[in-house]
Amino acid sequence: MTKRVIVLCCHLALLPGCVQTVAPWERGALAKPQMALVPDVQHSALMLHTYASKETSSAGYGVGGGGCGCN
Amino acid sequence: MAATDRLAAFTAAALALPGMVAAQGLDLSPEAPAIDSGYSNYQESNGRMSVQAFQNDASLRLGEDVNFRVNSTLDFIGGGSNPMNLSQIGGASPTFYWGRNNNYGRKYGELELSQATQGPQRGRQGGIHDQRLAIDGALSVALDDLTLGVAGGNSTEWDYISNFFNLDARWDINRKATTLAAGFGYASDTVWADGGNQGRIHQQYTDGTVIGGDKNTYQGLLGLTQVLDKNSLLQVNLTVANSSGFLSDPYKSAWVNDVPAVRSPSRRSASARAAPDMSTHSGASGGSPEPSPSPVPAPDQPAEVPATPVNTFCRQNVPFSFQVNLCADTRPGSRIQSAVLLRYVRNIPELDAAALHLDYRFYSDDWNVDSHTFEAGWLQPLPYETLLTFRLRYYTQRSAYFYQTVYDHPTADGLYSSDYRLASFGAVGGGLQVNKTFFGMLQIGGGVDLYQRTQGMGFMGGTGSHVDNFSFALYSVNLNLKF
Amino acid sequence: MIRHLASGFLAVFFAASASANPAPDCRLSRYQDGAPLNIAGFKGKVTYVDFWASWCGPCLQSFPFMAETYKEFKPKGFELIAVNLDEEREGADAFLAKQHADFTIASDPAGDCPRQYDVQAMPSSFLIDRKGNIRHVHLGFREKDKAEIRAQIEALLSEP
Repeated sequence: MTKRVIVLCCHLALLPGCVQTVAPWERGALAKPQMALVPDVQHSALMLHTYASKETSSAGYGVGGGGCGCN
Repeated sequence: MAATDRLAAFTAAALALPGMVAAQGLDLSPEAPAIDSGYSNYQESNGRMSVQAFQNDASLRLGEDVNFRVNSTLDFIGGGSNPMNLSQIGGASPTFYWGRNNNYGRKYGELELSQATQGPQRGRQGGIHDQRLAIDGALSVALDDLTLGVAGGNSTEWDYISNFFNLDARWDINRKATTLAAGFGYASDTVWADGGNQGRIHQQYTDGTVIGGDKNTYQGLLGLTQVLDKNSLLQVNLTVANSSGFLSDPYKSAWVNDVPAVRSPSRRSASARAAPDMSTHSGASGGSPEPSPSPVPAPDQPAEVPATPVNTFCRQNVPFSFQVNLCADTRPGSRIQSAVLLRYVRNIPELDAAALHLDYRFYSDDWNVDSHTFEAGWLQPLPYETLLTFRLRYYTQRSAYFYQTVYDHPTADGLYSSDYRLASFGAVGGGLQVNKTFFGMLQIGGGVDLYQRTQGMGFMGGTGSHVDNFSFALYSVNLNLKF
Repeated sequence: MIRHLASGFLAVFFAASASANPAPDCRLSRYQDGAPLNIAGFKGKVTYVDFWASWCGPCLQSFPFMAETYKEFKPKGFELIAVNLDEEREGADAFLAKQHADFTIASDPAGDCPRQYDVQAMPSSFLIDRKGNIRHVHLGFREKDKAEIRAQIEALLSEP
């Protein structure tokens, strides 16, 4: 796992070097609400909460706390 | 229902992740003051569980560069009205009353026949079994290319309390084409088994020990968001969480066959000797599993399991029509979880600026659980300021190393869990949502999300049971006001 | 990152020196009717050139300020050109429908202006003196920029 992550990070480090330069005034499409990484924050929170209480994997999306009587 | 991980922030909200931090990516426009309200209704197959959730979130600007967001969630959790029958119990993790200290009129050792996923067990007449109120606040300050955030909150149920706080930082570089994020979180939780009076009575093992305990979690996040071109961006999040303390389910237990017969009094632990009843609560004393040629469940005799660093509580011969031993759900006292999340978003200009979202998460923990999550979303703008969203999801996980549907023998490490969440399985889900904006500031929407868990749908290996298959439908409506 | 720093130095350089940094004379057209516009044509006046787009939040905040500034300083020889850089005109149309802007709105059909001005952020604004030299550069728009910009305009207007 750790090795895989390191390899992945190395690739990611090179990422900015190979992407197309996007000028500040060319971000109109990226600014659209449907292009947000999390377009519907509230619904996403609801689903993450639901999945976290039914599945054992609950990580990756951020850090935070919460309640889960489900353990 | 409750969540463990909430993300954030600008993310985050409500039900699940209060106070999340998370690398959200491009922050092209300052967050406007807004109010988001949602109501959702969760219905699990066969009436196993139902939840009504009310989410209310607001974000305010406290200054030009200072934002405050407050999220609240109120859940009403009901149980099933359609209990399982005895024949189903074998693979499921049975929930039953250890006997002491409940005002539900349950007798010592009485089995709860509803396969409730969690929460207090009241008579399954459809009444409320739990209530959760979660509130968190997040403050963020923008300092040129750097955004710093601090968040904290509390979530309280009848059998669970969580207090948490997070710190996060985002740094825009490359003329905002790249965003780096880092976050740290701490949560202090307490869990117990609700014995009534809305959680004020805590259930105990028959030896008087209160069921449950405290749990501490530290989390860290590193994130990178990169604009790939005019129409696409990619995010990578790496998270690690370290939990320690009581990580078991206070309501669940596992079937264990071949529990050795009573040992000589000298081998019994002090706590077991002190126990006035027929159960044994074995502590950190020595001893190893003592194979017994045949299960000899002696009625009303104490059983003993191997001593381990964790407290394992077993009892024998509960009053059923068949002979059986039960051990309380007992998991390791620590858990390290890590995950890599990849998110890709692409704009399709030819289709009225539709957006394709592809998310993949690989998760791994030191309980030997690995999982893959694949999610896809399609957001289609339609005339009259309408947005249609389709979602698809596939999830699969391997079972935890100590998980078994039924234990043939006592375990050497004293760990027992037949909780379906730790089993091997696969699940598919999908959803549909429609949102319409009025006057450019009011958005109203509604949708449904469906989920089907199926034992045979996973590919990660491990063990599990088809008895734990279930499905749910989650209906939601939302209202958002942006000023 | 290096470009970012470079532009910062450039801005400092512009701000600190009254020596010749001639404003690029890129060709624009009037937003409403496409009539040609020429930044060099404003020589003799203090000119504020703003680059904006409808999807940019701070741009929205800057519009009322620009309208007010334009109204106040116009009689003293001040011009304001807001150059729209939207790729889709509908967005800009909707944006402008909600604004009360008396100043000149321009579009950049050739798409070359922001590159010539080396626009680093949205919005970016350039203050050009009566002789046609760039004297101040502002990246982004914040409330606290308002007083500074007005002071700079007043100073430039008082120059011959």
